Amino acid sequence: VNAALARMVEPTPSDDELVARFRAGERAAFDELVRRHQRAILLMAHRILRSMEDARDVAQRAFVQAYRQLARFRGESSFRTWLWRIGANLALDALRKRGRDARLALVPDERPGRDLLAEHQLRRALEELPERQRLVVELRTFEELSFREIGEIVGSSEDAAKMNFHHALKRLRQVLGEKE
Amino acid sequence: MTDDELIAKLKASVEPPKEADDPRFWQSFAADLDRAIAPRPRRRWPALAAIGAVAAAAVLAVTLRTKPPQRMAIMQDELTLDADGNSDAAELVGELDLEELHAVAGKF
Repeated sequence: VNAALARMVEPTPSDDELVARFRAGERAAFDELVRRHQRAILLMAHRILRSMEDARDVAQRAFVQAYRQLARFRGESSFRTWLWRIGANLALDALRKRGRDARLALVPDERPGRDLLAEHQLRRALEELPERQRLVVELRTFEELSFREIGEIVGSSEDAAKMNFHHALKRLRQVLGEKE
Repeated sequence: MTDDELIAKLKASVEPPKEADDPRFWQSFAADLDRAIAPRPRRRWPALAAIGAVAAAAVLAVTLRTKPPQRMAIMQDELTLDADGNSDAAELVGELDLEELHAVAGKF
C-alpha cells in the first residue's frame, strides 16, 4: 500500500529529468516528452501554416530532429525552448517554401457571432508581419511564453523580443486602420 | 485598442483544428513518429553482393593455383619449344644429334 501510495504521489518528472533518462537509454522518456509537447508544437505550426497536413508534417519533423539531436542538447536553454526553436524554424522554412501567396485561405468558421471578415483581416495582417515579429506575436499571444524564452527561440535578446512584440502590435493596429 | 484587447482579438481569430482533440489523430501521429525514428533496416543486398564477389574471387584464385587453364599450359609448352627463338619444332628436332634424339625418345 505504501509503495502504491508512493507511486501515486510521485512527482511528475520534469523535462530535464526526462531528457536525462532518455540520454541514459530510456526510450519511453522521449515518448513522454513528445506527449507533453506535441499539441503545442502542432498548433504553433498550424497557426503559421494554416494547413493541418503541413503542420503535422512540421511537428513530426521537429520531434524526429529532436530525437536525433537530443544527445547533443547541452541544456543551455530549457528543453521546451529548444524544441520550440526547432519547430518554429521548420514551420518558417515550410512557409518560405510554400510562398507567400498560398499562406491564408478564408476558412469558413462555424462558430456563431463571429466577424469573419475582421478576423480574417487580422490574421492576414499578422501574416504580413516580418517573420521574426510574427513569431514573437505567435509565441507571446498564443503560448504566453516569457520574453526571455521567446528571445531564446527566435535567437535574440529578451529586450529585442519585447521590441519586436511592441512593433508588431503597432503595425497590426495600423493595418487595422487605427491611428496611434 | 489596448494591447490586451488586440491580443484578445488575435486569440479569438484562431480556432484550434479539430484533429488536435481527436485521440486517433495522436495515435497515428505517434505511430508515424515511431516509424520515422526507428533505426532503418539495413539494406542487405550490398553486403550480399560484396560477400559473393569475395567468394567468387577466392574460388577463382584457388582454381588457378591448383589447375592452370589449358590454354596457359599450351602457351607454356610453346614457350619451352621457342626458348631459343625458333618457332618450328621440326627444326629443333633436326638440330639434335643421334644421342640427343635417343634421349628425347626415351622420355616418351
